[in-house]
Amino acid sequence: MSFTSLEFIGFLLAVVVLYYIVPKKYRWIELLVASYTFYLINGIPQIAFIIATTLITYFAAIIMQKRRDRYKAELDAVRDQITKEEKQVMKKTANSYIHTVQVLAVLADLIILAVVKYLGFVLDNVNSVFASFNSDFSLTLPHIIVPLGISFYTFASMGYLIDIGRGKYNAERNVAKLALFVSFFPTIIQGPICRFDEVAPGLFEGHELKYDNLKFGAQLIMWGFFKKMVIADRAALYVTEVFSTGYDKYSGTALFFGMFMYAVQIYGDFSGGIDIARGAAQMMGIELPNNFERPYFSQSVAEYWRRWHITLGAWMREYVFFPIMLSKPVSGLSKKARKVSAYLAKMVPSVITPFIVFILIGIWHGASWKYVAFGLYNAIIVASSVALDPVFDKLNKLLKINTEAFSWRVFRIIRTFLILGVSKILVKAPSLTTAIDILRKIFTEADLNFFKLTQESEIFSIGINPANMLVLAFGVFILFVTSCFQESGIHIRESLAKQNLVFRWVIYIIALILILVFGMYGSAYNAADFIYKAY
Amino acid sequence: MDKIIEILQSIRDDVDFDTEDALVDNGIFDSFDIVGLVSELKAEYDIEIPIEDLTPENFNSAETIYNLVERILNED
Repeated sequence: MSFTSLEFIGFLLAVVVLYYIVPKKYRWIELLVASYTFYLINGIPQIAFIIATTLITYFAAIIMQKRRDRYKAELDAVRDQITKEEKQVMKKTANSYIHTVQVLAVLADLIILAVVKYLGFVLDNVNSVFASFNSDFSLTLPHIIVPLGISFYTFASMGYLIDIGRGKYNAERNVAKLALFVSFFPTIIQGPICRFDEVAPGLFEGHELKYDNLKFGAQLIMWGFFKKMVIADRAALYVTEVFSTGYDKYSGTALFFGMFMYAVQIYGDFSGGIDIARGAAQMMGIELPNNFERPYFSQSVAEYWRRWHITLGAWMREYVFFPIMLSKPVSGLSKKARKVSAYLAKMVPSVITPFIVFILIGIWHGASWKYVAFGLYNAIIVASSVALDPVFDKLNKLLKINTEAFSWRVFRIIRTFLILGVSKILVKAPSLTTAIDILRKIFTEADLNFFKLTQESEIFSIGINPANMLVLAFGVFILFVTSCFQESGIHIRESLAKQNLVFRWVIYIIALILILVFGMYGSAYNAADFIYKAY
Repeated sequence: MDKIIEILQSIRDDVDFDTEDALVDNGIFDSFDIVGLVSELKAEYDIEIPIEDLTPENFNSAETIYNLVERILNED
């Protein structure tokens, strides 16, 4: 079920109404039923996977919790009678047991994800190796339909397991409540990836009906619909055609323009979907974390990854980056490097770790070499910007650049956007080899003369005619203006609520008309499924 | 507290740590800076800061960092 469909609106309305009818203390059960219903609607056999992950996660967490509770009880019983060293031994024994359970459970969840998502890719490559030796041997895998949201709910579950392993909070005793956390339907399609302690209160406490929640939630959903149906699905017409296997037909300029269109499409699509998810949750008084903060205003690639798919970046930072950077092997390496220079001591871990993180982010996106390339590309940019930081600093001072100036910030924004444009083409192209070819065409042939594209008749025969382009441009303009407001710290919905009644309702009605009239329906409607849905 | 500010200055000498209270939120300190800071604090105070304490709330100002260090020192 797509977010931007009548079925989803109908489903959501039913869930929201039922939520407030059910007595407060059972409201979370209603959400659980709704979430599993939603999951089953999207495919019945796949429910086995999410149940498996939920149960593994649940039992492992309970085992870890019991061990930790036992350690605390035993410690309390003998606290004054034993030495500090003995206390440390007790702690180490308990922690080592807990850590083993944690690692096994995380691996189990990860293996489920890996087999479903990546085994096919691995086998394809193994088979190519055999083929290059002229062997007939090949391995095949039965076709598994990827369970809805498996990347998202697996990461949420692994985060929960690691948090329990660290003793951050107590394990959830009620398996049904954990099941709700893992399967919560607004987050299952494309996130955000939630932390258990952050969403649990909101999920499990029944919320009072508040007009503001309904209103702001519905507005956010409408905004998501606007971004998805008016902007993203429209830009998709151009992008899908131009970055298909028939990309050869198009000029470097057309491909370069396509890069901008794709940037618009992917942002509208993904952030629009997140808005719908957060709006849906808000209607029931549940707050989900933000996943986007005007990413195209980033002044560096590192900053971009703090503003784009925020929960994935935060997950990587908490569970991969910090553990690696602060681990004994890396600290040891850093100490050895310190003997050469302090700069190197900082650089060695700061250059190696981004590679691990970004390759993981890359393959999280999908099972293809282009995603590995995408990860490597981002890693190289981030690692080199850390390594070259002192060089750029000296350069700026030498050239007397005013780094506070608005023009400098604009330069950095545009530069970052273009660097990431390359990265996005690696993702969008049908394969790594076509991506490289597309990039080659852009770098050798493209110019900024976008107006000549209007003469390339084949572009406008695919549905993105001048009228549509105008609507798209208007949509992007609205998006840009609201982004500028938000960047200045203005909260749009709250500000709107303070305006005059007539003004507010004019805005609402215009928004509704825009979506109804200019939303992309028709043949593109079913085909333009959420890009991130298959993750 | 002065020691904390001294360590912070060694990482970024262009920030007024007496008044700045959004080191992480304003992007002044990124993840690499946090790691560097944690290493320095470990060397100076012989403490291990658990990863779940590496939050914006704990690292947004010299004061919150000082409170974190005090808390960990008093835990044992």
